[in-house]
Amino acid sequence: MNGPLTVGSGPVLEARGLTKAYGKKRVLRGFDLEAAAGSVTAILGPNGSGKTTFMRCLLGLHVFQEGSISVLGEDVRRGPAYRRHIGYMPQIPSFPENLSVREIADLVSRVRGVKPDFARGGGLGVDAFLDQKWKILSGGMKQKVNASLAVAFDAPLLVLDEPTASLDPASRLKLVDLLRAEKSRGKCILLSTHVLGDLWELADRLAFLREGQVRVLKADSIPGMGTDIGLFERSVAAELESEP
Amino acid sequence: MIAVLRFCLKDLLRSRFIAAYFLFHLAAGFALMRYAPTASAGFGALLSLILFLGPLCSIVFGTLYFYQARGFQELMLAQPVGRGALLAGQALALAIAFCSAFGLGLGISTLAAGFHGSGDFLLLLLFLVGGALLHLCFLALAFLIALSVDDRLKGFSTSLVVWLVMVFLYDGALLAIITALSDYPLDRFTIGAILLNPVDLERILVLMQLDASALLGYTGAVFRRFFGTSLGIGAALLAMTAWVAAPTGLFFWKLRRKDF
Repeated sequence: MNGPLTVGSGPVLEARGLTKAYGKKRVLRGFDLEAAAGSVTAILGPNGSGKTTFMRCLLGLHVFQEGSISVLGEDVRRGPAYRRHIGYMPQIPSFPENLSVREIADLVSRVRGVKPDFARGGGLGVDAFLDQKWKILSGGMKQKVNASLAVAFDAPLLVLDEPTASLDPASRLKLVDLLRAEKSRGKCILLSTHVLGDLWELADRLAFLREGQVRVLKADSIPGMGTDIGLFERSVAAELESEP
Repeated sequence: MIAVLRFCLKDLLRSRFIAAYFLFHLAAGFALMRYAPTASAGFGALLSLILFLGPLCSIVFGTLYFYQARGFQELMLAQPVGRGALLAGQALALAIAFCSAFGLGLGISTLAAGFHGSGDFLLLLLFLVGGALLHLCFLALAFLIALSVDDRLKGFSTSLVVWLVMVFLYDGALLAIITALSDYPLDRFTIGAILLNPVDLERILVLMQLDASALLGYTGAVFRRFFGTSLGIGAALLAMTAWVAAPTGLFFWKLRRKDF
């Protein structure tokens, strides 16, 4: 797919009244969230606030009790086909350790039915270790493969969980540049991270999760956004610690 | 599912454990069949080895494999592939790798060590089919345990307890019951109890084809009357297949509601 992505007038991601409980513990309570094409939405919240739970519900890893999630209008509970619209980058990637990076890409491409375009993540330099086995790659190299695979299939929605966590500073900047380019091409990016510098550079909206509910703020409305990273970090931290 | 099966099998066939498992069966099979005084004695010795090691290796490796693959499963489940297809691909790959290492290792070594007649060939076939079903049963139990218990330590402990019960404690309890109630006719009860344990099924199936069954006296005669016939062999293999199907079915049923 070349050029900016057009997805019609509806949101790429839409969650309505989402409720998820583990036994008696309700983690998400009537959670609503929308995300549009060409935007970066960051999900923030203290530990146990439901960030991971929401992402897992979106990816079909968790089964939620009430509400709905749709990706480009496709209900996530109607089978796995909607996930062709998603490029996912988990915090700790894991593949069969005796497969090479090329074989892993081959496996994912066969499952998706689309050939990967590693040139999209060219700055990350994955080409250099395509024939190395997964088990000998370092944590940073694995994360680069992970990032390249997430963008290689031109999916309209990118779901990224702590994407820069194990990257060196140079690779982190390359990934931030890559994500900025993907956003400009119309991708909808959903990001969960504790690295506030990533948000300062990328985010359009910040979704604060507290006790299973969400409050979405425009990134521009956060003091320091785009001007003073120190002030931005303090403002976000204050928002995280404020009463729901 | 085919793509997952193909690549997971490729990964497993390159693993040192599967290679070691194949070489172990090759070496043990050749040594025991080559140097045992009779084929029957060789199979008897091999049987003890298989009944102890096969379930242990299957349930331990199966449990660890599932836990280690959790990250991969989560990543793959974010792709357009169903839970059932992904897990079926992984389980089939593991089953093929294990059964191939066991079957080829023992099959090649036994054939290389020499045969005494067509009876031995049938015995080998029964030995391999029963052994493969035993491996499949414990792999299915391993997957079911690992899916049901999220805590790795608890899951691993549960697997070891299941192995211990099925390989040792079940027989001990059965023996205690038979001894305590020796004044009563327990033939049907004993046959029924054996049908409920796949390890005993494989043991009895093979023992009944060996000369050693003559040493079992009256009990041996009763067992031989059932397990020595085509009907008995069929019933035993069917019971072993049920032991594979039941945990597999339960695994896929639980999988539908599982939070990864």
